[in-house]
Amino acid sequence: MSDREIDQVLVERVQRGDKQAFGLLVSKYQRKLHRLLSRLIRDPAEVEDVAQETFIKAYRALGSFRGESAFYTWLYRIGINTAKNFLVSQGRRAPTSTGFDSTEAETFEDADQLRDVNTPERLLMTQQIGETVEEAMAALPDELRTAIMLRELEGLSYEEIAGIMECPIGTVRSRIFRAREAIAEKLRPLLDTAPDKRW
Amino acid sequence: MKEKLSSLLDGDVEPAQADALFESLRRDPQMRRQWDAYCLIGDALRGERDHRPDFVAGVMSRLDAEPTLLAPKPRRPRPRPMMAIAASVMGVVAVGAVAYTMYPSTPDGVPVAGVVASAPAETATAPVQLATQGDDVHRNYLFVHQAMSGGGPIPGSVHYVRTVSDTRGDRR
Repeated sequence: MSDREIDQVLVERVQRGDKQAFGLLVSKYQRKLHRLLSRLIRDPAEVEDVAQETFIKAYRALGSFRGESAFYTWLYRIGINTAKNFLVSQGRRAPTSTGFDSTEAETFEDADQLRDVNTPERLLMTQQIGETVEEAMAALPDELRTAIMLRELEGLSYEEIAGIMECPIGTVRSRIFRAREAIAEKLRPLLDTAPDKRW
Repeated sequence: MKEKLSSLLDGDVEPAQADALFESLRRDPQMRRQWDAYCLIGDALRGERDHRPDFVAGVMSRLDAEPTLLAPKPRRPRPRPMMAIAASVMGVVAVGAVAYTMYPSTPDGVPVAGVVASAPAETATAPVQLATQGDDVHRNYLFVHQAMSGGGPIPGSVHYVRTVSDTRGDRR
């Protein structure tokens, strides 16, 4: 199954009444959406509000989503419209439609162009997560590091990675899992959230 | 289970397995935290390291006030190869049954239409085997009937069959 098909399975579960499935989509796309919105809205608190509003609007409209486009393309479109409406309601000028659209959202990868929207606490957390992930990656055996980089950075399928690394697909699956687990283990103290903040 | 979750995130699962894993995720908060962590790791490796620990919980809290979606399941056209094969078989059987009814075998077991249509050249060497005197009345009736019906189970073949059969009768 492709990434898009996985999303579609989640969408259909939400459409059948599984709200937790929507949480998995929120978890998956929250950071990309925040980055997108932070190009349109300066205030980090407002970005967070608009991001939340975007997901709520998406949930309300999900009943009519039929998968003609990828879920994230559809979500980003809602995000851009929500941000524009927010700016108009605030008496601020929204970017022109030619200045930013959902096509650009799909290829939006350049972190250097982003403004810094972090509060000091969030900046510290972001910095700690970055350092922890880098340290954990550096500590990984070569074959685990290569496997997860090919997957997460290059977006290759298990089959393609198996071809490059000249090993069975099952080995690729195992290496990527072990790499994730090793990094997650290092991140766990940072990610531990209070029970009332869990979902 | 964690390894399956990792595979699920990468789309390396069958649809039925994906649904079972999502069902487990629905029930198990610990698995959902694992999902969160794996999503964060992927984003962090791609340079998206901003972490809002309570963002998902905030959205889910607001969703509690929203009515549960119960949209009809979209109907996808699915290929049904067995249906196509069954339809073909039924079609052949239906045509065969009609043909058998309209062109019954001769007493010696040789179907008149089949022999005449498949080997017209042989009619000159063994015409006597193909019909008997008692068939003449029935054959005349059949010719008239076919002329009135204008077709038969295999359009286009009736005139040919009738002409050859009639010729055979004259020779005999």
